[in-house]
Amino acid sequence: MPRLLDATNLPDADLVALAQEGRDEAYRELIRRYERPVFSLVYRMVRDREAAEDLAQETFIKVLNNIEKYSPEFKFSSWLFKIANNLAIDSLRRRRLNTVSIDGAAGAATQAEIEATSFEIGDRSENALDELANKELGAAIEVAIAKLRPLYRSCILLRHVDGRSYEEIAQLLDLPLGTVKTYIHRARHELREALEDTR
Amino acid sequence: MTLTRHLLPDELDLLLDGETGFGVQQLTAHLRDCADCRDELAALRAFVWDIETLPELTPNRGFADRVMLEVHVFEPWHVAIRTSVAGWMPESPALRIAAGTAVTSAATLVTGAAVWGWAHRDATVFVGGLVTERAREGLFASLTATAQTLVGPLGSTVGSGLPLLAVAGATLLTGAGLGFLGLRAVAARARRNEA
Repeated sequence: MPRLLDATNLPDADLVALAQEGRDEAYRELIRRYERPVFSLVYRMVRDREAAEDLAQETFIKVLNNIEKYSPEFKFSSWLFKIANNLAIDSLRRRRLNTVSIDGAAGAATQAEIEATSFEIGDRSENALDELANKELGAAIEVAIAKLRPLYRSCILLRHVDGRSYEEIAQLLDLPLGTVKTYIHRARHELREALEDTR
Repeated sequence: MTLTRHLLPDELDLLLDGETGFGVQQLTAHLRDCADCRDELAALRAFVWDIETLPELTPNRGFADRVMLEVHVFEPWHVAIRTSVAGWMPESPALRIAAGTAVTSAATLVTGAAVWGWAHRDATVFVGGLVTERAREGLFASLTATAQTLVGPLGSTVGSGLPLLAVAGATLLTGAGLGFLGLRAVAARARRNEA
């Protein structure tokens, strides 16, 4: 019987090695570590809670069922995000879900559906007015991001929400470095224009 | 030389990303003298900060369990062996040392015997043949005795050799078949009781 594993402090590479040895705890720790970032990225891409949940799930299933093919020269998270992003882009292509409301999924028709697919945007302030302003600004940013072209959206989310470097994004999206820089620059410009009235 | 115009969006982006390459020094120098460009860069930083501080979203409860239902956790054979060996290892250090010593001694003995056998191949083949012959004779004798006990006079009429082996085999198969049917009946009864 293998000893119980405290996986929470292990780096990703060690967890992947343990998962490759068939350790269930390592799989679960990898999911725990990345479920929120992956789900956030996918949700912000497709803007539909149910679809995002399915895509995030599909991402993990795909990655974890192919864990033995993982090559340690790349970051595990880059591999994971690459698959998540590809699945989200494919889903957008299939469903043409590009422009939607922050108040719920594109397909939500009734009040109940809107409530079921919408999110409470979290706050970080103590003051109620600040809280409201932040919530409004956050919602406006979410809407503005949702209106970007899918590849601009991927670039801006990976750069500013997930904190990836330009090089990593280029590798992740299979795009030249210059293109990534241009996309991010244009996406920032479009977002600022869209948010001009809100700020 | 400092710039005599305001910074372009691309140049502000370079500063925002903290680039330090060729030409950036000139932009930084301009920034020191131009309040408008400083304000513009500050606004850009504030805007990026707003994006960077968007909250993380959480999937529904039980997400990991749903994923794990579809993930095939596979233990490679070498890991399975290692785990099994680790399972046999005693907990206490003293016992571990004793077990290690015993295994090492056994391995040394076997290796020594194998090396000796290889070095004296003729003798090994001769002794091996002798042992095999004795074993075969012994097996045959015990089979004959068993058959005579089981089938009595028929055993003595059939004698020895192939017919004897066939009788023994048939007896064995019948026994195994009856055993299997018995176990099946027990299992079926257990299932009925459970239901």
